[in-house]
Amino acid sequence: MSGRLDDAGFVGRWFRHRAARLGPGVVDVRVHAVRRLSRGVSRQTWSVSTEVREETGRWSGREFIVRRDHADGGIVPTPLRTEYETYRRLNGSPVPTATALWFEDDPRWEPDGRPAYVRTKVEGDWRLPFIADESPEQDRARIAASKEHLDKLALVHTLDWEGLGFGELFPVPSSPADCAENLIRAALARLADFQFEPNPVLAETISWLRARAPRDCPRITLCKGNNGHGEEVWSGGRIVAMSDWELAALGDPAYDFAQVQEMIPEIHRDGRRIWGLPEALAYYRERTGIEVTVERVEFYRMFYGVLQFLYSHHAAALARRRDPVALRFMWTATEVSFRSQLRLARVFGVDLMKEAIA
Amino acid sequence: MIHPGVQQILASVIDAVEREIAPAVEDEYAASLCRTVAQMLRAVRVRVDAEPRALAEDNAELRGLLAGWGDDLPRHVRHQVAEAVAREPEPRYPALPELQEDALRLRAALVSVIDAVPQEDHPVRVAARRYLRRQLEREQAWQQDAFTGPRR
Repeated sequence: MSGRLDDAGFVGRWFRHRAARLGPGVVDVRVHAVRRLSRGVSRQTWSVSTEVREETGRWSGREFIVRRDHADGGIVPTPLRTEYETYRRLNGSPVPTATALWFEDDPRWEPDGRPAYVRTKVEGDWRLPFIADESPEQDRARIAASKEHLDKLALVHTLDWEGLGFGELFPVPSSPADCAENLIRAALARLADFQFEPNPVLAETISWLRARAPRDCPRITLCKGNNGHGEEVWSGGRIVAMSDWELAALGDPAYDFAQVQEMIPEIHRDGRRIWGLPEALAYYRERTGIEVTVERVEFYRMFYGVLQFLYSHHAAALARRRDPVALRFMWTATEVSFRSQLRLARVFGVDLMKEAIA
Repeated sequence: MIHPGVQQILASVIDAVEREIAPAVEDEYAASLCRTVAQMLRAVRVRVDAEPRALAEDNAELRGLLAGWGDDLPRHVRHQVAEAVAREPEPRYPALPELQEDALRLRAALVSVIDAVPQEDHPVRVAARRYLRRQLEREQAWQQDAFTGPRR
């Protein structure tokens, strides 16, 4: 029964079989087109254009997203199921996300014979063209977007993660003071599952990070991981869906501030900084009551090299198992992996990093 | 990083050209070039692996021949032959797989040393960091500097 994900006929049969999962009152579906989206490299994302029929008999257009690993696996060593379960637990919470519909692991319906999950598609755009525009006319819009992003991070960080079951998905720190050490332990435990080559640069860095792990985190929160421009869906000046939860964890909210992409711009006017990390942290503290220090954010920026090493080494491990492996895996296993080591080496004072990847 | 090595990297490039890029190319000449690229890379893949050994064997055989002919050769080429035979390069490096195995053993030992000496300012750790800088600088030529322009 299984078929290919690029075969709209198969996807039509699959979706009809699961019609009841497509939404309340949906009784039938017609699939018009299936296409692979190019954005994102860690996993495959496909868009499915459909019309659904509700119990009233009315047909209406609707789009869905199918997520799955590449044929060679996933670059980030977070199981696909964990990503799905993260969405599922967030559905119904104040955090805006797409709705996770079902995880397909029935061999009769897995496209191309591998698991996939289906979620709703949230209309909007990941691009904010003005966010990198440094002209004064854009100051207000950039700061407003930054605050909107901080508001949404605040929602994530104030969730009742225990009540929502995130303790079953991610390693739980023994106390707020344990957040940094817990993250290091979790990364090394994950790495031990697939590490095939000793790495002294990583060993030296881990020693330094452990000696400097902050213990003044005030509370354990759900953290999103990579976030900011390119990771969320925007519509009408608001974030309507927070996407890409592959690096989600339980820990110090500073972990998220270390991974914000472009959404906390440094803006200076008349010799004075009017927006930047300290202002963003103050704004966030007003919203949440959570103190995040610049020092802790700096620590987690250093720690990010460990995450980059983790996923690039995972790509290299997959490359050892499959010959040939997909070229993007190979690139991640080579240049990106080396860059992760350069990032790690910065922690102990060796700075050989040249230009950013184009 | 020791792995992935040249062979695995080239295999992935060939696979991407043949399986993903070529089928999507509509221009006839560009499609033809895709086929040439893949075949050239196959040749490079074998050559990287085979050429050092083949050349070493070839040179040894030819050196033996030239040396054996000696005085049987016409007088006006004897000097050139003798000089070529005498200029045998010193064997300098073991074969790559042996070097890689050696590197893995040595690096595993260094990881154990770092874990066993927790004081950052211990002379062993200071020397280890100096070594790590040089190790990264040596790899930098092909792991970072060789990449230019957009990757995706």
